[in-house]
Amino acid sequence: MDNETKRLAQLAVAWCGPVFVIGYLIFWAILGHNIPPPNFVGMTAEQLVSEYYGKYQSQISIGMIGCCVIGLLYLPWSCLLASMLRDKDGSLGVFSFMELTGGTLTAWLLAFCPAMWAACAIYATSVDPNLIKFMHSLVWYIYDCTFMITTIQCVGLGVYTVLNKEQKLFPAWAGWCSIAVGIIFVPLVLIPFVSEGPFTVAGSWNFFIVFGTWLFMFFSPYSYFMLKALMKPTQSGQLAAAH
Amino acid sequence: MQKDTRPALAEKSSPHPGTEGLWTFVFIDMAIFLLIFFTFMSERLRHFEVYSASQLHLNELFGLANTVILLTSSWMVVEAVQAARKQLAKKVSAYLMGAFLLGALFSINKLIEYTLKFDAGITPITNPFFSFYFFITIVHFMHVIAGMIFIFYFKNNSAACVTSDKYVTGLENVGLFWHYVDVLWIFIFPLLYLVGRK
Repeated sequence: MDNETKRLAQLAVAWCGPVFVIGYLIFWAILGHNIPPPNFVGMTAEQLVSEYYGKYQSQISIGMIGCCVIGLLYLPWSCLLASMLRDKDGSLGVFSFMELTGGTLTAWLLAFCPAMWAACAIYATSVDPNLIKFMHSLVWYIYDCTFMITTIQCVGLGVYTVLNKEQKLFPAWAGWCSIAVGIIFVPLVLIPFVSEGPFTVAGSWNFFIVFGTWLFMFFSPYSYFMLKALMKPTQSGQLAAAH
Repeated sequence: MQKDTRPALAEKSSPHPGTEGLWTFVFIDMAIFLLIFFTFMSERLRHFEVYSASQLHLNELFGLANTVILLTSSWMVVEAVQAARKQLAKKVSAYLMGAFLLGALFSINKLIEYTLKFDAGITPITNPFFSFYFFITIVHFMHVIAGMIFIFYFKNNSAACVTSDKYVTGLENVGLFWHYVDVLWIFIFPLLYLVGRK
């Protein structure tokens, strides 16, 4: 594969990131009625079915199945990012692998959990509401309480960026932001236990701050710098050749 | 006593102490804490009764003691940096040991406070105020622990490295970090313990 073809292929993969974000906003946030999600800890099973799954059944079903497809676009984006985290000798180090595996597992969750929520929606009116609430809760625990998957991705990426002073792709401030985002996730551990306030699944911190900082302090800066590196033919030609 | 006529180390061409990387870290960390503080204040305005009543369960004397401890510790780090610039290894070691011990005192104070809370049945899931209380103070506490580790490392290396510019720059970074931890507490103490207290 010549350098220009490689660059264009990498550019296409880089665009998977923004496409993932836009698609996930449409399918998960809007169609899935997750702005914010229902505060299931503070709801009865009957409320969850009547006010959420039963009320928006077809939209949630379509939205969640859409997420099963769009969610996995996070995977090639993470793979490309990992391939850009090279040491001076061109090799991939531990931080690159942390970013890669963290991104891969995050991509899996982004698709797997919506599949379960889709099942909740489709069967909402034909099974016991308690079973629906159990499934819904279980999937949220998996989605949010395993935040360490994404924390490891963020910290691996951030530490590489900060410590590797020879690399010119990503500025140090982006690395510090990435590490900070990984730590901002920590209060997600409170989700199963609190029924009101900022640390519920729909709370100001555990929903708006967590997802907002992920988007604006981690994903957007790195996506921007990846696209910037790949859009310049001379710089990206050298980049592709180094790979 | 003879006046110390040795030229001070790290006579900087840079206008400020510490390195750019540390300042970047401090700026971003500060932005995150501001986000936490704004979220706290916003939630407090929305649920004023719960937050006000819960605040009364905090003992402001613990907070005041921790403020004095950290301020004194910061002064000791300032003295250590000044001594390092004059290559006075023993003074550096002594001041850093003092700062470290005060950090340990802060930690003990904090652990006692947490223990008293748990004994009273107060945990991070008691109500939103206490979720914030534990979240904010634990994150700050982790910064204190990190600072103590850095201080201890530089204390142990003071004799061998005090004549090097790299040591002095590193110690300036530690000082900057420790002062930042101190400033954070100066905001956290009134925010959690004092504001609106009746």
